[in-house]
Order: sequence, then structure tokens, then C-alpha cells
Amino acid sequence: MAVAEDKVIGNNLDELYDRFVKKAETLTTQVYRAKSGNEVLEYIQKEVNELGAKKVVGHESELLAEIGLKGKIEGVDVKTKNIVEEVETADIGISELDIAVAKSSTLIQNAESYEKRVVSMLPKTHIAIVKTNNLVPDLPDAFEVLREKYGTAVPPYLAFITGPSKTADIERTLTIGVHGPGRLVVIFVD
Amino acid sequence: MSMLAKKELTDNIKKALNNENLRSALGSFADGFVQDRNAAYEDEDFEALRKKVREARDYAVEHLDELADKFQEEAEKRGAIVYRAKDAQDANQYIQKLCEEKGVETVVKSKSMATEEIFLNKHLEKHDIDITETDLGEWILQLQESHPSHMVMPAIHLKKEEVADLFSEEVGYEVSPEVEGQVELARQELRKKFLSAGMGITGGNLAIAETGTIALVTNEGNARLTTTLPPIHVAVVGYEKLIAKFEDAIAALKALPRSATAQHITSYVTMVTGQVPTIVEGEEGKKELHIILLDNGRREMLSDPTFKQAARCLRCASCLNVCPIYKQVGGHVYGHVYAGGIGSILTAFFHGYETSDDVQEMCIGCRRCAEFCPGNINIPDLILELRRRLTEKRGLPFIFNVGIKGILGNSRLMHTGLKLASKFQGPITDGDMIRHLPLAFSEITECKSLPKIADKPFRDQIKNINQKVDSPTETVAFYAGCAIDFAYPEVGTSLVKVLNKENIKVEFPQTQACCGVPAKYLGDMETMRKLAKQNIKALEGSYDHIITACPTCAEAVIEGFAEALAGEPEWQRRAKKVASKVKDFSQYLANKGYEVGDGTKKRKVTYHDSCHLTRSLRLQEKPREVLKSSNNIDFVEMRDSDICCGFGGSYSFKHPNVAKEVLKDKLDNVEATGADTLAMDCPGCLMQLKGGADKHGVNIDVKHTAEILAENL
Ligand code: SF4
Ligand code: SF4
Repeated sequence: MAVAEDKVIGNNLDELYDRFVKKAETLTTQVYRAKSGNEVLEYIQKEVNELGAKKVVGHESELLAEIGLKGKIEGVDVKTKNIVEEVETADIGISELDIAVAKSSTLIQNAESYEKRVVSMLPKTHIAIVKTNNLVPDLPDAFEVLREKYGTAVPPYLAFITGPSKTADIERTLTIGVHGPGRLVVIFVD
Repeated sequence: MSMLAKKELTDNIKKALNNENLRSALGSFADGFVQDRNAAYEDEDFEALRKKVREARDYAVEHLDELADKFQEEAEKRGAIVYRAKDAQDANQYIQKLCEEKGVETVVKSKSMATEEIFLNKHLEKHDIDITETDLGEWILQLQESHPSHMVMPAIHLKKEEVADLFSEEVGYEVSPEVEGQVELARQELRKKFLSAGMGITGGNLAIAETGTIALVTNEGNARLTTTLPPIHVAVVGYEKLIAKFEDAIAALKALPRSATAQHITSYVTMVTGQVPTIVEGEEGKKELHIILLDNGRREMLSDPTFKQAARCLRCASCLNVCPIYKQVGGHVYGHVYAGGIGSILTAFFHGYETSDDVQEMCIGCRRCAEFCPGNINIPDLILELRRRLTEKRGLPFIFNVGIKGILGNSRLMHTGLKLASKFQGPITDGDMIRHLPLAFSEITECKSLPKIADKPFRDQIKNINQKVDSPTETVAFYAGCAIDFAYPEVGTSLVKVLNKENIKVEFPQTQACCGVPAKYLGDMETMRKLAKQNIKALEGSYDHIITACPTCAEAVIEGFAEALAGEPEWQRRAKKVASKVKDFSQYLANKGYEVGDGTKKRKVTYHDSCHLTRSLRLQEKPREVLKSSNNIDFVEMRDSDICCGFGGSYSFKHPNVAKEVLKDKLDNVEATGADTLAMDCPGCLMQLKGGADKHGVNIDVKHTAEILAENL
């Protein structure tokens, strides 16, 4: 989804990116910024190595297909087909997110596709790829983008993701990774 | 109220107060909450945000049918099936039949207060349908066969050791009391349930009419799995969750997490609109979506001119987190699904007025919750109205009708009566009659020593004061109220002394009477009106100002009289004229730029904010300005200075054990300052704290600001 031009103009992308990072850090979200598809792959490789991941599932959006995950990451089994069968045993899920809200470090995704959804829900690590261009300052701006794009015909499943899955239900001890991923990695791509 | 219910409540309170785990958990939570929550609002204007929440909800309430129809139409257009359930049974049966029809044997559920409210789990289990809570806290409670004690943190009352025991029993091996491991265990156990369940049930935080969308907020991510993995999704949503526009969701999405858990936004927000693709047994298909619009007393609440504002409740629980009573006893004492002040209101409509009778009494009326509520709900006023309606049904207490009502307007008789009562502590101090008097002269002296009734009321003492004010700059009327008149005349005489010194003449209109608040709190508006008129007549003279030294009385004159006389325009006009002249003592002085004289005694003073002075009159800065004007006064703030002292008029009679704990917290905070003087501007607090300090051997001077200023004059 392309964010309407006029939303971006007047908002310095670097500044929005910095704001996103600042907030994300407080939530343990890891953020990278890549200039190119190859750099995206480098960061993915870095995560794979650090986590010692064995299996990665990726949902191929247009962008991800262009970057091409398969065969480009070493030492790991990368699945982009038959995701539904593979996802439950994967260590990392990769998908593209559509909007990034700087103020709260929130990512928004049209998650109509079942595969896209499970990739970001089931594995313990989710790597979210977002176009830097799609950064907006605050939640109302994101709603404006959604309104412009869809009117009242909103997608059947809209997902807002901010940081890792967490709970404080036992003795108010903050613990990450309950039902969803305990690690969220965001790679912005210019 | 049935005796049984009352006994149950008393027993529950006792149990809660003796539960050390609960008390330490709630205590440490309450202490940190306000700070965290305030920090979360640093980048958003709370007042602006809650105005938006309020506008969106109020609009929806005014257009309820229209929005419900629109929501249904849009959701159905997108393939959802919308069912309107009139009550709990209706909703439960719908879900049960759906399970039977589709051959669903196992169900997963994400956290939802509405399904708690209708006792869905019990119903499905009775029909051999296996249902699993997937929110960690809720799951723990399900294993314990218990229920939530808090809307946001359902298992806040449990220790990790207790959780370990429950988990060990569930999985059949020893689980250690270590939180991270417990969370991982829950992830694995519940993941299996998610993958095999035939149906996922959720609540709904918002129902957006123009798009037919349900919005869900969670941190754990269980709502995402519940709405994604099983082939059927059922959402149970109350009518009050309706909002008109997609953008109306923004304010709620910002306010709810900030107020609930001091987050800017929850980890996940999920918006489901109609049917969504899914995989059923390896085949791509459309997921079945059923939305149950739940009434169960809501429509009555939403069409009630007073109670419809309860629709603005986001279920953030911040009103519980800041409530001095909840802090002491926790949620289970309330005995119903929705706890705390807002809980008694929701319970009244969802489960019946009578059900809420005992729990509404738990509110001490300190108004702190209303300051924090992101829905801008006036919770304490709603509780008062609920109380009024309940008494209307029950009728006024006999003893009030025959013994008290008649003498409220006659202060001399009242003084004689109270004097007798305090001497004999006999049947006259029994029950309802006395508990709603401004002076709670109950025989329960367990937590504090009660004040003596003065031999000579202030109204007689003032006659003997020779006010040496030759050419006064101003002449003011002093409206004393019962507490100062009968129990603390020294506050009155101090006030006269201070004002005289400033060349101000004080008059005491002798026909003034009780402000009527005790009658109003009992639901006796007739007596309230009578007293309002009597006082208006007494105060109408050509005074420059009307001075009060009791914030409850001040509030009555400023707002209460006009409100009570709303049906009589001429009287209301007179009430407003009188009201416009009212100044509370410290406010009057501070506005004059008053400075405490050099001769005043050296003191280290800490200040207790009375609920009414702070949150009704909003004058908390005034006494501080006055006291700090002296070099002889070393002013130190105490922690939580604005939390109630536990007095609350009748409260210490009704729930002495709870009031005692609230008082204890207050005294601890006072002692921690090392001050030698505790100042305040409310005779009710004075009674509570003087007696409390006395009883607990806290060595400190407890004084009304007027008394401190009058010293050495
Ligand atoms: S009444 Fe207000 S503070 Fe209490 S839960 Fe509802 S929205 Fe939150
Ligand atoms: S008014 Fe005070 S006691 Fe009553 S519910 Fe609100 S915070 Fe609790």
C-alpha cells in the first residue's frame, strides 16, 4: 500500500524514523534501516545467525518477492510455499507491513491473507519489512491513510502490531512472548 | 438488602483484609500506578482525549438504534451473522446451539468481560463443550475454578507459588514458581488448544457501525490466534460498544491502554470486518463469523437519562486502581463480575438493582475515580443516584423519618439530641439514622475516638465574642454547618479571630441549619429542599461574602441548593445568588494575599487534602498558599495527600474495618513526613484524623487551618 504523497511531504522521513526507533527501543523492538533489498537480506541473515534459527517462513508480498528470500539466506531452511504446514515449526516468520506509526512504533497491516497472518503470529520471532516511505507521524494519520485507501470497505482483517507479545498477568512481572512472537524485528527499506 | 447478602459481604471483607498476598499486591500496584499512568499521558492531552471518547460514545447512545441497525447491515453485507441477544440465557443458548449444530466440541476464548458477565463457560461446560480461557490470567483462574478480581489484570491477587501449584496439577509434573517458565508453559499448552479448537470466542472493545467492524485490543496476542486459527469466530459485544465512525476508534485506542496499563497502545489491535479467508482442513475457505449484540440490561441503562453515561466505560479499570477502598479489599469482595464503583453501577443494570445494593455501599464517595476516568463518567454521582433509587424502593429508614427529619431544620433541637446521643450511646445511635448524619456518632470506636459534642454550640458561643472591628473593610456571614457548630466550635471561634484581625466583621445568621446533605444522601429530597430554602433565607442578607470552613457544606450551598430547587425557578434564582457569594475560608484569605503573622508558633506542617475541597471545589492550592506564607511554618507534602482519610460521612460506621485500613494508610503517610502538625480544611476529616491519631498513638497536632492561623493572635 502506498501512502498518499501529501502525507509524507512535510514530514521528514529521517525524523519519523528516529521517533519510531526511540519508541521501539522502549518495547524491545529491534529496528534496522536498509537502503536496498540486499541490505534487507543482510539484516535477516544477521538475525538468523544470532538466533541460531533452523527454519524461516516468509510470506511473499510484491516487495518480498522482489527482494527474494529463497536461496539468499544461508544455513537455514527458507519456506515461502505451503506456509500453513510449515509455520508451526518455524523459528522466524517474515512478512511485509503496510504502515508504520512513528509516535507509538506501531505497524499496520492488511492481513486478509491467512498465510500472512500466521507468519506474524505463530513463530517466536517476527521480522517485519516496511517501506520507509510508509512512515506516518501518529495514529490519526494512519487512519487517514486507511480511509483514503479503503473508504468504508475496510479489509476483513486489519492488524496493528506494537512490540512483542507480552503479559504481566503473574505478579505483574512483565514477560514477553506469550501467544505471539517474543521478538519483533522491524526492517525499514528505503 | 437481605441479611444474608450483608453477612456475605462482611465476611468477604474480613477475608480480603486478612489476605496478605492480596493486600501487598494491590498496595504496591496502587502505589506505582498513578505515576506510570501519568507518564503515559505525557504526550497526549488527557482532557482532550476523554472529551473525544465522551463525544463518540454519547453520540452513539443518542443514535443507538440507528447505529445498531447500521452495524448489523454492514457486518451482514460482509458475510457476518448478527444476532441480538436480549439476555444472558439468550446469548448462551445461541452459542451452545451453534456448537451443537456445527459439531464443535472444543472452544478457545480470549478475554472478554461480557462473556464473564453471562457465565458462558459454565453454560457450555454444562452441555459438555470444552472451553478454554486463553488469556494467561483468565486461564489461571479457570484452572482454579475462580473468577477475575480485576478487569485488566484478572489474577492480580495470586502469587506465582499459587500459580505453580495450579499448573502442576494441570500438566501432571512439578512446575516451579518462576514466572518466565510459567508463561512458556502456558504458551505451549494453550497453543495446542488453539490449533485444535473448533470455535474461537472473543468479546469486542469497539463495534464500528459504518464499517461493521469489531475491534479487539490485547497484549498477549491471544485474540489474534482466537480470531485466526479456529474455523468459526463468535464475538460477544455489548450495545454500549457501538461507535459511529471508523475514526472514532482512535481516541479509545489511545486512552484505553494509557489508562489501563500505562501503555501508548497495546501490543495488538485487531479489526475484524465480516468474513475473512481461512484454512479449514487444508482447504481455503471463508471463516464463519457470528456477532452477538448483547443487551442484558444495557438498553435500559443506555436509555436512562442519568445512567446512560456509563456507556462511556472503556473497561480500563483505572477507577479501581485509584480507589482507596478497592486498594484495601480487591475485586472479589464486590462479589460480582464487575468490581469497584463502576462495577456496582454495571451490576445494577446487568444483574438487577438489588444485587448491587450491598456493594454500592462500599463506595466512600471520595470522587478520586472520576478524576481518572477516560470516559469522563461521574462514578460517585451515579452511585449516589443508585443509592437514592434503592432507598426509594425500600422507603426511608423508620428512625430517620420519625426521629431525625423533623429536627434537621432546628439546630437547637439537633444539638440537644446529639448531645444526648453522645452521652448515652443508646438506641439512637443505631443504624441508618445516625450513619448519614454529618457527624457519624456511631458506637463503633474501634478505629478512632469520637469527638465530644460541645457543651455550648458555636451558635451560642459567637454571641459572647466581642468582635472589636471598628470600621470593618468587609462584613461576611459565616455558614458553619453542623460539625463546626456542634463538635468543633473552636474552628469557628478561630475563624472569627483571624478575620477580625484582618478588620473583617463576621456575622452568624442564627436561622441557618444543616446543609441537607445527610438527607440527600438518604434520598430524601423533600427534606433537602426544605433545608435549602431555610438556609437561603438565612444567608440572603447584604453580606460581602459567605464564608464556609466545611467543604461539604460549601458544595451544598454552591451547587446543591440550586440543584435541589431546579423545579422552582424563583427559588433557584435565589439559591444561585447566595451561591455566588460563597468563599471557603482559605480561599478567601489566599485571594486577599493573606500572610501569616510573624508571631505564629513554629511548626512543621503537612497537609491532608479533603476529598470535597480538592475534587469538588478544586481549592487544594489555597490552604497551601496561606500556610506557606509564614517563615515559621515548615511545610512538607506527604505521599498521596489527596487520598481519602476514610471518613466519608457514614462510612466508618458501615464498614469500620475497611475505613480503619484506609485511615491506617493515611496515618502512615503522615508519620513518614516527620511533621508535628497535620493540617486540613474539613471538619469531617478532622474528626477522622484527630480520633485516628489519638487511637493509634500517633503524636501529632491535628488541626483545621483556621486553628493554626489563630494561634498567638
Ligand atoms: S469507569 Fe472509567 S475508569 Fe472505570 S473502567 Fe470504565 S472507563 Fe475505566
Ligand atoms: S468515589 Fe472514591 S470510594 Fe467511590 S468508587 Fe470512586 S474512588 Fe472508590
